[in-house]
Amino acid sequence: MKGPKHPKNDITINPSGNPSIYDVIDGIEATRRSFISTAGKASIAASLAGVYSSTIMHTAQAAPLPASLGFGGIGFDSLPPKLAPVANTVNVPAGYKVEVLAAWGQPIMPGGQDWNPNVAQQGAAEQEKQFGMHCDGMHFFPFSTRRGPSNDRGLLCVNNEYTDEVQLHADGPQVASTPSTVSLAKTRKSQAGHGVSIAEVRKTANGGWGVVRDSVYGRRITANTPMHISGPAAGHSLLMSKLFDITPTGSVDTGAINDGFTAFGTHNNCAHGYTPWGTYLTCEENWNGNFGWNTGDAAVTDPSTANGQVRYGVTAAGFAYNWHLTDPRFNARTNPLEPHLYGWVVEIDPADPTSVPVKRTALGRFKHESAQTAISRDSNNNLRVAYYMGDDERNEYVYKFVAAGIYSTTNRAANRNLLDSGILYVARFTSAVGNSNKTYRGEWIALVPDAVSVIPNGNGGFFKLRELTQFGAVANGVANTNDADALALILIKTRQAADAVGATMMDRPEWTALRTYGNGWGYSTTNATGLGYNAQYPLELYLTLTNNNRRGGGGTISVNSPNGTTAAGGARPPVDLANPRPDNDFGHIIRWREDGNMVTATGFEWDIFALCGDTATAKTLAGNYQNANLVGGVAGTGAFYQGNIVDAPNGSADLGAPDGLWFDQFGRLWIQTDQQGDAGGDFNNIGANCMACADPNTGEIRRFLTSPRNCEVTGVVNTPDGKTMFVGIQHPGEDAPVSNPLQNSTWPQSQFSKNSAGEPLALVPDAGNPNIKVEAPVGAPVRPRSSVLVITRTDGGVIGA
Amino acid sequence: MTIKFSAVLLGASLMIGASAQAAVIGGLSNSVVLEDFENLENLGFITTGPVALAAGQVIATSNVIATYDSLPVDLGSNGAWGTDGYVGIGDYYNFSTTPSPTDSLTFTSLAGLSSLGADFSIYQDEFTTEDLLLEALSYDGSVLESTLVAIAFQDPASYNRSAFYGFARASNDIFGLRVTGDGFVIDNLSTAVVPEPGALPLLVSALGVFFGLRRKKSQ
Repeated sequence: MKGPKHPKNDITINPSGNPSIYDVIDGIEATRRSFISTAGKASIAASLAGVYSSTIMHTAQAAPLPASLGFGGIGFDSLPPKLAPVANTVNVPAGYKVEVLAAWGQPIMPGGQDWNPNVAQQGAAEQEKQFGMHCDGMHFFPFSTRRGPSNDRGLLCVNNEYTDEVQLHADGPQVASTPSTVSLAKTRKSQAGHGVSIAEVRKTANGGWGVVRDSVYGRRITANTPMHISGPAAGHSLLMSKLFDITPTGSVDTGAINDGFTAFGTHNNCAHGYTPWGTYLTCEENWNGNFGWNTGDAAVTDPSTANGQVRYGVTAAGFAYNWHLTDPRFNARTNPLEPHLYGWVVEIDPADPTSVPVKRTALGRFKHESAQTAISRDSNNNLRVAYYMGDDERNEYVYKFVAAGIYSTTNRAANRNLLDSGILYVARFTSAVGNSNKTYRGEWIALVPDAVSVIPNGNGGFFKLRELTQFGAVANGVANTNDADALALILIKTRQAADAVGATMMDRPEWTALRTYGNGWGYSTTNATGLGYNAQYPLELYLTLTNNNRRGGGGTISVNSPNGTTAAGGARPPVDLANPRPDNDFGHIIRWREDGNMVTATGFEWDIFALCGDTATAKTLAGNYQNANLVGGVAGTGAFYQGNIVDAPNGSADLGAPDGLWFDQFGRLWIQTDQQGDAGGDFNNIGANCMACADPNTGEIRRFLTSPRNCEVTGVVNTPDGKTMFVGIQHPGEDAPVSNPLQNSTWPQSQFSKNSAGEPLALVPDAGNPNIKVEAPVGAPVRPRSSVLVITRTDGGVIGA
Repeated sequence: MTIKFSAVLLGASLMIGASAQAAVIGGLSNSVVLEDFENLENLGFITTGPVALAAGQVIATSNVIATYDSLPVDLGSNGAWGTDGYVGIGDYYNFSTTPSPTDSLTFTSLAGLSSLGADFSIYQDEFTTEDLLLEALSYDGSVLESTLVAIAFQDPASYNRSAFYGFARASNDIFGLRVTGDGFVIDNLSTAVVPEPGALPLLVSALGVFFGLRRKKSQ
């Protein structure tokens, strides 16, 4: 996620300067080891950088890849990078067809109106029945048919992460100093553009795919939708914010408070998850940016709440949405507990349009990226379910939630509250040598009241979490004996709990992905319930770490304070084995295997799957960073930015800032990028954002899709047969001025005039008769629109094969 | 609950296979819904049964897994079913079962009824027409009468469209309804009268059927 209203993640800088007492790098002795099988490639790549001219690299097409154990192979030719100036098209390999399934404004439910390119003529009421703005993570729930899951019809649940206020409103964003730009109507439209869209999609008579406009399943979840709060933190006093009467004409303070079991809305949800019992998970990420306060509003007096706002990046300006100017619910000073109602994973039953979404507090409160489900047997041979989750901010952590209950394959109802009880763990990536070749050990630390922190208690030991004031102790050392209260506080202040136990600060954890082996989610020997992970088919998770320009310096080295006081994104941690490069501009992908191939494991082995980078870059490390890296476990210099992506010819499928990550059911790893969208700066060789496909056995990567200008590629899922893929293009043309919203892009209008179903993408007044609306032609001056693509093969085959 | 499009929609075809007494019905006057599948305690599970329905008055069993839920089902040219509780043949949850024409689901009433029917739909496509076999059962499980019905709406855009079929007889001798077909869903199990607990011998014999089924399953 990028964009003017989006977290730069560097705007709340307040390095603590505290020395590290829990640095995972306690010794670098593993000189014999390297991280992946292509060890040394980075240095080779660096030396060869001058050999491959940009012309060669940009025209050479890497060969397809053969299938191997648990991997279906790659059958397409790698696309060349799309260099600046970036064409406003989506490109896919020869033999593939790409179309628009649903663009921002697509009506998705009864009463929904066609999108109006004149955005002044549609407001919140219309947006609430249309596909929201800026699509992100998504999942496809196929209808059942007589012969198994449908490949023709289902429910597509899509996060609408955020809004580009330049594109959303005719007069652009709300600016506090310019009252004429501020209105509740704009706030409400913005809130309606956020959230989740549930659309019924199906194959159409023309052979394409379309949204069923009047579907009984069509639904919008917005920033104002009533929700339940459940799990261990539900009902806690910190969740009892002011109760507002929310109407189209205002949010009126009722004088009452919420009951701690009620919340309203979800917003700024990047990635997502799903459950094996058929529900969708939307993960609240940059929710902090929608809050703000006015000059003169009294500061929050409760030090714990005030510190929490610092730790989670709640600021006066937020990300300049300025909702709080007209909607006092989003004023973080006058309604200081409201931020506690966000930062959760929200479960939605798409099959029941009347169901109330549930915020599941057991999964912790942070800036959630995705929630990747995994199921395995436990040591008692029971089926257990876990969720792997990243906190997407620089120097934040990786989490795992293991549900306490046993997963039932026959009773959907019995699974419905599985997400309400269990243990939330945070990861510590250590430098201890793993049992397998080229791996290191990791630990899952349970965030429970009796978890031992890294804060000395003065008696030769360390405080438990319940003995710290932030988790209810009257004073450090005086235990909070109320287990329920202590656990609730740990979950509401998940970041501070992770700080206290010495979790490993990571380079912005993004999506997690469960490795598959050719048979749907997870490995099974016979069917979806007979999970049979083993040494040959391990329970393996992958995680994108998109970038971190504060890794290894750029200023004074510091770490997140164990006391939980460091501002969001404020530290400048040293390099470590899991985050081995200073100024990690290009990011990397890490992976781990759970001990015993069980989701209940408390230990794992990890290695780095790929260091992203630009083989041909001449960029060198600035002087204010540590001039060493730990690539390959060895303190060294050089190869900071080149990465070690495996491709052929070398450099032909380089990528940076990996974000979206997903295994299809055939064992292919799909990687989506969120980098500088104009192919400038560090990305002049890599080109525009892309989606690539990787072989998890060899690390070989091929570029599958390239994007239009100033967007990111995010969200991917396919039909059960793998023959239709849905992919998201978010925020095309961002950073345009209010005076010219079309400056950077008019995509998808620049490439298409119709959607996949053959309907006009945009209707505009006829030149001869303004009272008649006609289809806008390709290239018409229409605002750019985030869209979900539908990708098929012209021969009807499986995508990627 | 669903809107009934069905009452006389296929009136002619209703009689296919009907006995000379014309006890097969396409609708019920003064109908009472015994089970609408909306608020089952365990709505959302898959099982072959037995499942207690209608406040324990009716027991459902099936020879393959059936889904008791409201998950969306694509019934081809008969439209989609969902957002509305039903029981459907096949595992609409994990997709582990592929229905076949021999799949059946049986409702066993603990009391004798003079009429019993339900709303039905079944998967149809453009290639074949699937019939649904309905059988009224006696207290001992024997077939009192039967009928074959064809449900074909030719309206793939519809939701929850169904046709009502059932049996009406002169005496309270219906103790069961067996439905056999390929990929069907059932909603709103209904009778024309409020069932009352029958005479003790009848109840005992009905329970015998129930426990017989349980024994059979446990074997």
